[in-house]
Amino acid sequence: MKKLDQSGRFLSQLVFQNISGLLALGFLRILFAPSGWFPHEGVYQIVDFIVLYFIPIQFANTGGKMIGGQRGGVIASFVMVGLVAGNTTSYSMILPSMCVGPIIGYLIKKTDQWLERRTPPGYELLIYNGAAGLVGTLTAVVCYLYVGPLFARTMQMIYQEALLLAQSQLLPLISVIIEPSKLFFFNNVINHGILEPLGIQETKVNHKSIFFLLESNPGPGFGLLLAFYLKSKGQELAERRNLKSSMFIQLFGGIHELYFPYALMKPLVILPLIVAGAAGNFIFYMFESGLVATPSPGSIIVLLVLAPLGEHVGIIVGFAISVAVSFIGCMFVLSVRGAQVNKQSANKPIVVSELSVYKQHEVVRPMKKVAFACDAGMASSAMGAALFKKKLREKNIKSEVVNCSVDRVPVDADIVVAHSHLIERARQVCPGAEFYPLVTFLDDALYERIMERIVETDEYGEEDVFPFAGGRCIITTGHVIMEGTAQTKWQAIDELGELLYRLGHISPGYIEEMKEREFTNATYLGNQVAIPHGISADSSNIRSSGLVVGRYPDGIDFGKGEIAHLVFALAIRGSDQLSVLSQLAYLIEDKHKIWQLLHSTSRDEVADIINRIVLYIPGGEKT
Amino acid sequence: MRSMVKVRFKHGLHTRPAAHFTEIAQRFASEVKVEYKDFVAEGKSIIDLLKLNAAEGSILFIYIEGNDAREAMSALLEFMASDQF
Repeated sequence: MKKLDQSGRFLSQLVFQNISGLLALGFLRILFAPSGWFPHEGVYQIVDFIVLYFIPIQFANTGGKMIGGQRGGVIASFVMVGLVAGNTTSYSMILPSMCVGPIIGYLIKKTDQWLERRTPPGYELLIYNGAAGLVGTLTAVVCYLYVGPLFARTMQMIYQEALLLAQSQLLPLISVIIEPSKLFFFNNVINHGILEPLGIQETKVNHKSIFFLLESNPGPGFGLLLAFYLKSKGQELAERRNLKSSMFIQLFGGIHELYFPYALMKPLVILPLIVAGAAGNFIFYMFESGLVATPSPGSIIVLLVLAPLGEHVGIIVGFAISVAVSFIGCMFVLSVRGAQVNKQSANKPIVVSELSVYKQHEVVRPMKKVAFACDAGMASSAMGAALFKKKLREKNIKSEVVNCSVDRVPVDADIVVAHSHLIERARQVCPGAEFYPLVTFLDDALYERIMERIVETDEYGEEDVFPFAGGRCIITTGHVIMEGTAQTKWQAIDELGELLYRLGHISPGYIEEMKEREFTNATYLGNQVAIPHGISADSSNIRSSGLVVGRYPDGIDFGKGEIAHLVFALAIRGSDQLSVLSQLAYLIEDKHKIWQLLHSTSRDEVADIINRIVLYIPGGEKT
Repeated sequence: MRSMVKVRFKHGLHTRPAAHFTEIAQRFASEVKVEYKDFVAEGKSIIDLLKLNAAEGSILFIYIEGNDAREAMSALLEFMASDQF
C-alpha cells in the first residue's frame, strides 16, 4: 500500500511539474479547434505534434530527471523519441512515457552508482557520460524493437476500456471511488496520475474529454462548505470567517484540500459527497460535456475557460446540481448530528518529540525560515505561505517563508507547517526543524502562535550555528543512524555522507573527498571506531560544520582487517576540526563509552553520550 | 633523549599527520612519548596523539628511550619538519 501511495504521488508530481505545458495545449484547443473560438486548421496542427511528441518526451524527461538527475532526463527523452518514432498506432505514448522515464532514470542512477567506485579520479565526466550514452543506445534499440509494440497493444486495450467506460452509463458511479480517495489527499494522484492521461488520449479523438471533469468539479466540496457555514451560527467568529474564506478559495481558487478536513470531522458527509459527485457526473454525461485539458487548479473559472464553445451550459448545470445535492445532503447530516465543529480533534497539539530534544540541551536558535509543505507543493502550501507572509508584513516581522512539497522541505528550514498527516514525512526530510501540524491552511490561531515563536526566538541573535546552536551540542537525534545498511566502507561513507548532505552540512562533492581521503589513508582509529572525513578542512564543500554517526552491528572492514562498528563522518571547517577530533579521541579511547554507544537503544541516548563529551565551540579555542 | 619541535601542519596535528607519526614511531622498538601542555601522549597511539589537541604553531616535546632512540628521533623530527600536510 505504501509503495502504491509512493508511486502514485511520484506520477502526480511528474505531471504536476508539466501543468503549464498541458494548459497551453488546452488553450490552443479552445482557441483554434474546428469547434473553437477562431478555428484555424494550420495552427491546430500543432496540437497533434504536441500530443504525439512533446508531452511523452517531456514526461519521460521529467520522470528520468526526478530519479536519475540531468543525465537520466536526457537519456529518458532520447529513448522516448525512439518509442514515439516506432509507434505505429494513433495512440499517444503518454502512459508509457510515465513509466519509461522513471525506469531509464533508475537505470542511469544505478549505472552511476556502479561506476562510482570504479572510476579513477579525473575521468568521471568521460566515463559517466559515455556509460549513460551506451545505456541510452541499448535501451532505445530494445524499446524500439520489443517494448514499443507491447506498449502499443496494452495502451490500445486500456484506452478502449476507458472510452467504453466514458460512454457507458456506469461512468457517473466512478465518484464512489473518487470522492472518498480525495478526502485522504489522493486527489492529485487520481487526477494527474490516472484521469489526465486518459483524458489527453480521449481529447485526441473527441476534441474534449469528460475525464477532466470527474475529479476537478468543485461542486461537491463547495456545497459541503456552504452547509457547514450556514450551520456554524453561534460558533466563534474566527471559525466562521475561516469557513467563509475556505468556501470562496475552494470555489474560485480551486484548492479542494480546504474541505477535506471538514469532511473528515463528520465522516458521514461522505455519502452526500459521493451522491453529489455522481449527480454532477451524470449531468456532464447527459450533456456530453467535456474539457480540453485538466483544470488545475480545479476552480470553477478554470473549468469554464477550458470548456469548448457551447459546452458551458452543461458544465454550469452539472456544477450547480452537484452543489445543490451536496449542500442538501450535508445540511441533513449536520442537522441530525449537529454541526459543532469539534475543535479538540481538529487542532491536535504540536508533536514535540524532536522539539524536546532541543529543549533538553537548552538550545534555542532564531527561527529564520518557515516552510509550508503540502503534497505537491503548489496549491495549498502556496496559499498558506502567502497568507502567513501577509500576516508577517502586517506585524512587521522578518522571516523567510517558502512553500514546497513535503518530500522537498529545505534542510535549513527552522519551522515546518504542514497537514498533520504529512508531518511525519516532513520530519524524515528535515529532522532539525520544529513542526506545526495543522488541519487547514486558514488556521489563524496557529499562525499567531508561530509568529510569537519567531519573535520570541529572535533575540537569540544573528549567529546561526545550528546544529551546534550556541556551541553546545554537536549532534541531534537526526544525526544518528542506529543501524546502517552499508556493507563496505565505501557504502558507509555514501550512507553517512548522504545524511550530512541532507542535514545541510555539505554539498555532494564532499562525499567524493571523503572517499579520496579514505583511499589514501584509512581512517580506522581503534576501539571499533572509524572516522571518515574529507581531504581538507578548508574544503568549499563544507557548508556548515557537522558530524554524523552510524552504527554497523555486522561491522565494516576498514582495511588491514580492522573492523569498525561505529563510524563517525566529520565535516568540520577550518581550525575547529582539530578540537573536535581531539575530543572525539577522548570518546573513542573510552571503551565503556563506546560499548554504551553500541548498545544503547534510543537515538536520544546516543546523541546524549556524544554531546556530553564532544563540545563544539565555533571559532575554536585559540591558544 | 628529548627534543623540542613545533607543529607546522596547517590545522595542527590532525588525523593524517598523527597517523603518519604513529606509523613512523611503530617502526622502532624504542618507547616514544609526546608532551604538550602537561599532557603526555603515547607516541605510538593515534588516539592519544589526537587527544593532545595540538594546533598549528604549538610546541611539543618528544621523549624517546631505547636502543634505536637516535634513529627514531631523527625520523620523527624529519617528518615533523616536512611540508607534507
